[in-house]
Amino acid sequence: MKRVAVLMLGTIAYAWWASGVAPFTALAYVAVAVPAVFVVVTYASMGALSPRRLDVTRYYRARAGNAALKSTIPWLTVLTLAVSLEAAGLALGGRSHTVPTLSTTFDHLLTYHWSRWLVYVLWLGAGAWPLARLARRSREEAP
Amino acid sequence: MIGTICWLLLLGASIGVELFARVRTTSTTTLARTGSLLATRISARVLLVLLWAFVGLHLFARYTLPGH
Repeated sequence: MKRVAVLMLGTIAYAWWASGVAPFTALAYVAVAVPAVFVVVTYASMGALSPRRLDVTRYYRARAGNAALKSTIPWLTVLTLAVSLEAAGLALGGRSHTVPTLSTTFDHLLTYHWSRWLVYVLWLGAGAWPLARLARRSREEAP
Repeated sequence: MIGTICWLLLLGASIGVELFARVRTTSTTTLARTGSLLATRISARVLLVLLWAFVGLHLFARYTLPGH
């Protein structure tokens, strides 16, 4: 529990520092690459990127429960609409005020350091989430 | 402006679908279960990790101030 709290505080502090780094600099690329490499390496070390680890596939199948293609239609509809809107925004040049792309819409959230930090924390959290789930599964299955 | 409203409507629709899925568990699946269904395929797991890394790169390393 204490280790989790320290990790969370470290992540929040890292996000505060990294969200203050000027974009289009080498340091900004490194600041994004460090957590990205960490997540990919950790996810791979847990066997999630290996086709031979059928236990991971079984785990996700169990977590999916009764989900089937038919029951995901509402999500697929939302995704299709989002892709269409993004395509329309890109077709209009990407920075249209009438139909902005998703990233142009997000740009307004990234103007201030505090909001940029918040989005950075959410991004790190989204990357850490599957690692935490798989780590929890390993602990539960350990004898 | 119209586009921004459309994005907000899509956000609202996502929240609506999630809430509906939590109430009517048999007809619609939650986002977490949909993600797990996707993750049963290794190609989808690789794509999701790549998509996540791309979002970080795009938003934080290649971010431009509005109007610049």
